[in-house]
Amino acid sequence: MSSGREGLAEMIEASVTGTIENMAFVEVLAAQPAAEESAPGEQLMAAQLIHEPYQGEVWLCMSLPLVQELTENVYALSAEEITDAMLEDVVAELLNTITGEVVKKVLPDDCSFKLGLPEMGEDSFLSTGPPTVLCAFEVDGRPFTVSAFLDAFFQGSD
Amino acid sequence: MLTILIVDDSRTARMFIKRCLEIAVSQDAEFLEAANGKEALGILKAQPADLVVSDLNMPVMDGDMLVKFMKASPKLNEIPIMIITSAGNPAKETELLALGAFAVLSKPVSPATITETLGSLIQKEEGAYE
Repeated sequence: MSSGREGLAEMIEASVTGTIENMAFVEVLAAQPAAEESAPGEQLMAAQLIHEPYQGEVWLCMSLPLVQELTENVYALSAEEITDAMLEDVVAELLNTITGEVVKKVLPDDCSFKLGLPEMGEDSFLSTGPPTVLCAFEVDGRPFTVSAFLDAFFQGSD
Repeated sequence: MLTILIVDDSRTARMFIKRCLEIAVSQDAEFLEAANGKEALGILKAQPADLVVSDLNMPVMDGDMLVKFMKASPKLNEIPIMIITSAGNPAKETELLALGAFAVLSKPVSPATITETLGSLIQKEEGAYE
């Protein structure tokens, strides 16, 4: 591994802020994880598997108003023109880009990797325990989280 | 007028890349879109393109396979292919360049990065004619 587990949160923060600021032109700030979970329906969640060289998974969970704001920025459309499919596609593409950035930072340069396709929904495909790391952020006071299950990447390196 | 085919399963990614290309290309361009490599090959059969910009990780036919098909086709092997992917790193870039892609960029891309990459393509093509 190019870096230990202790640097993972910083890698995720850099990947998340770089991706969202570049694609949606908003400032992302690190935040404390919320004590209470949002009610179902108030958020969109996507998950993406990492297939090679180790198995892992990354999740992105965003409040619906935040997804709406980002989608309006990305598509340069008004709220009335945004469809549910666009909202889901933006979350999936943000997650896809963030996952790639995180895995690139975790692995050595000479190591190829293979990602699955982002999937919408709250089901976890892989993890049976708590995530390796959970990072909370906000955009204009609207919260979101990125969590990753990357234990296999660090086995033997702790 | 340039014809550019953007291949990505994400509508958001296609739209974002198109916007970057519109800024980067200093002339009128027509943009075609495909959601995977198979769709892209179907479009290219009917209409030639000056540039193909493709993702790697797609359902049905991925970007690796699209590059292989295009480079094996006498009709399509001259079309430059730029890969823009979230799954790129130096090892993957070397592999794709060996397959015949002319550039491999990592998501998220910026108009500046695409402008610089297209500039190097134009210089390369001009050099080939000298």
